[in-house]
Amino acid sequence: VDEAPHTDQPLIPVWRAEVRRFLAGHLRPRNESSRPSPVALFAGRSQEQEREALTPAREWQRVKFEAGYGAIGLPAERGGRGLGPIYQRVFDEEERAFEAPERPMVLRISVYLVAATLAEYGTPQQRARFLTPLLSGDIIACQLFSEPEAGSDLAGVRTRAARVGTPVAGGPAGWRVTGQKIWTSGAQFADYGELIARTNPDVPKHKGLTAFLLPLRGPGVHGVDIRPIREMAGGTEFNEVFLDGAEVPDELRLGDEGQGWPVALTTLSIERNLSATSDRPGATAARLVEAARRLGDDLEESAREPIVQAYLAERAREYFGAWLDAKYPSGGVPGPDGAVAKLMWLSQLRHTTEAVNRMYAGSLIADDGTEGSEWAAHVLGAPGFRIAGGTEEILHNIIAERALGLPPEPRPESARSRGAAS
Amino acid sequence: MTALAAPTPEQEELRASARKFLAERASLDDTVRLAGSAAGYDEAVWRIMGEQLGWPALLVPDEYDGAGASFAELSVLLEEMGAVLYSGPFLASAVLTTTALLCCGDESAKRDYLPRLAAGDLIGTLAVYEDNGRHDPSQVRCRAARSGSGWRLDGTKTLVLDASVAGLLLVAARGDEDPGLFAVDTPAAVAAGTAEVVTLRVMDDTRRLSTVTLRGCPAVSVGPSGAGLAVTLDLAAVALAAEQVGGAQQALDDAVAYAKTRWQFGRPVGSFQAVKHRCADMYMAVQGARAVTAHAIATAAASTPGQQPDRDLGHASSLAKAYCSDAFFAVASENIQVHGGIGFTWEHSAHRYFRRAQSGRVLFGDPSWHRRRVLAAAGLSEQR
Repeated sequence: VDEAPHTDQPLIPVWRAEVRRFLAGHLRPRNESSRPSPVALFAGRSQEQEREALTPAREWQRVKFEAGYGAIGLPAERGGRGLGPIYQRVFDEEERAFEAPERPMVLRISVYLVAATLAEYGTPQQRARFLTPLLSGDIIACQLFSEPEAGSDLAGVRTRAARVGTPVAGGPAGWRVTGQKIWTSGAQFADYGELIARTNPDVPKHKGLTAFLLPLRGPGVHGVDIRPIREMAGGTEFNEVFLDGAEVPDELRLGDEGQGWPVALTTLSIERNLSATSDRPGATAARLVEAARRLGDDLEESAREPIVQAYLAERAREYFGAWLDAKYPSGGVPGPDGAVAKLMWLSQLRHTTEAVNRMYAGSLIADDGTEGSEWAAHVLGAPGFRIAGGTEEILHNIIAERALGLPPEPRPESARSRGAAS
Repeated sequence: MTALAAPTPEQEELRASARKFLAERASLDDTVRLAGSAAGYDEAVWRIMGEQLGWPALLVPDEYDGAGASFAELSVLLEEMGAVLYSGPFLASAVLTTTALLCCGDESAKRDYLPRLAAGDLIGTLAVYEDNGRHDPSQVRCRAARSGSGWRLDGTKTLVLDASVAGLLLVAARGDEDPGLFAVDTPAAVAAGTAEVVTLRVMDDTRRLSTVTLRGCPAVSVGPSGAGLAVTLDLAAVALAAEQVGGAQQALDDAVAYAKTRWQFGRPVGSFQAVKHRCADMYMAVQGARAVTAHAIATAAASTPGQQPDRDLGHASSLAKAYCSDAFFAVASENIQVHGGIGFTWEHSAHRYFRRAQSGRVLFGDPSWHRRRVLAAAGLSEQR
């Protein structure tokens, strides 16, 4: 079954061999003495440590991009290889066998979410200007989606972008943006943000949004204040972003005016599918099995069930991904399927937390320097992913309403966003 | 990671025609109506499947008058049959018996039986379990003793599918040396009093299960069992998983359809998140079941039936059976819950899916057996 999805694409084993040759030319293969990938879900680093981790990751991204592996799934004329999603999966699988620099979250967002969205919605000029630097890691872009009053109800964003007739930084005419964004991973390192802002408060809330690529740093940037938020697991991957008259030229508008919602949905759908199939190689079911084997006769009988459940959930997720690859050979997974993939991953996380509780007990809550204590960071990170990129509840709504056609809850608010109107 | 193939146009066509035929001739209403009859299923429909549709011939190779298709085509039918809880002897005859002969049978046994099984003229079944039906083919105690040119069997088998309607019973038994598979002409043995078939009172009456007691029952050796029997049971579990996907999808569809039309508090109950989230979880369970089954079917289709143990198949099979059994059971349970009171009535179909799901969890290996195998394949065998 190792066949190519299209006749003009390489056979999977041929691709795998090519990828392996490339990786072997640049990286050391993993072996027993390699440091195992961390099991933590959030890196738990300080800002300074985050910055240090980003440098080798960007260098490695550049090497990959220059060799044609930077964005395997994007069309060739848009900086990619024009190969189906299975080729990226195989690449990631092979990369895990080598000591590659880990990909910090902001780089994943920049390359896989923002660049992919730009490849789809960007004008030819925007693509020409941004795709190469984004895909090579030269510049970094974050998302500017959630707000304090627009979490699950993302379409209710209140941040306003208003047209200004006078020239703005970098362009002859543009927009001035005022509002507050939150939970923006990596904003502190980002050059640009994929911004969803309200441009028309007088139409139904989904229709009054527009997307922009907002400059966050560099000469001429003002009215942008980025403040880190420390998350519950201890690290500071995300931020609050205060926008006070920040300027964006009209040529950095992403999609048409009023088209912000479909642009956001595109990014979110990629995000859900990505977090489900993502390169967090640490906390695999195989890792749980290894740990259980090392415990030997000390393994509690009751730990076996959550281990097998985590393993089943992981396989379901893997085969579901392969099934989507077969169903959508050119990518573009629809929203409900992205939600299913994400929920399958969350199910794995839940079982993993249960398994390490049954395996390790005390080491989990008091650092005794043993393997069990490493899993504390995993347990502390798991609640975050039940929320990030669409809460479990929102994902259930997406599946129920869009895959099953169940009616939405009646919404008491008027068709117009109260936030936008106020 | 395995690449999965999208369905071929031929498979899509097979699915559409199977769905149409089953809806017209073997709907759940028909099945319920015939459950108490002598045969327990519609024999005329079975004859059409054999003579006109060629379904029992799917897995049989060309040289034995079969269609030479793969597990991928078979699974399409099984899914559709699972959706309507089809009660004819397809699983016992066209899957279990046919696969057992392909995996264990010597050339003469294949020539004797496969063409008739393919035509649907002969209904076969496989008797493996003893005592309480624990799924461990290595624990077979049924004895086979040489008698002239043939054999005589002594022992009791249980949870035998469709033994009451089968002309051919393949029995796993222990000879002087290696365990083997032996063919019994069931009607003749019952008439002679060397075999007794007792139909069991079952939770799911769309599947007939029997105890078969053999007392000096004449039999013909068809070949060694051993690894071939293990492969047969692995393939049976994959087949059952495919059926479970179909059943789970139907139970989900029923629940969703009801949630859209049943109104309470002035709105469809499916607009309440408490209900719609339940439905979304059911959908997720079905999608997961589809995915692991697609993988198991691809593995089964790539394997060659024979005497060699197939580790990939064993792994994929236990994974699919463990996952789909749980998924179908969860979805069938939630289907009742979404329906509320009406879902707990005898007249409603919901309990039939629940019964089929519960029965399927245990058949061909219970949840504990398949979990042990999944963990062993993942690298964690039992310690003590």
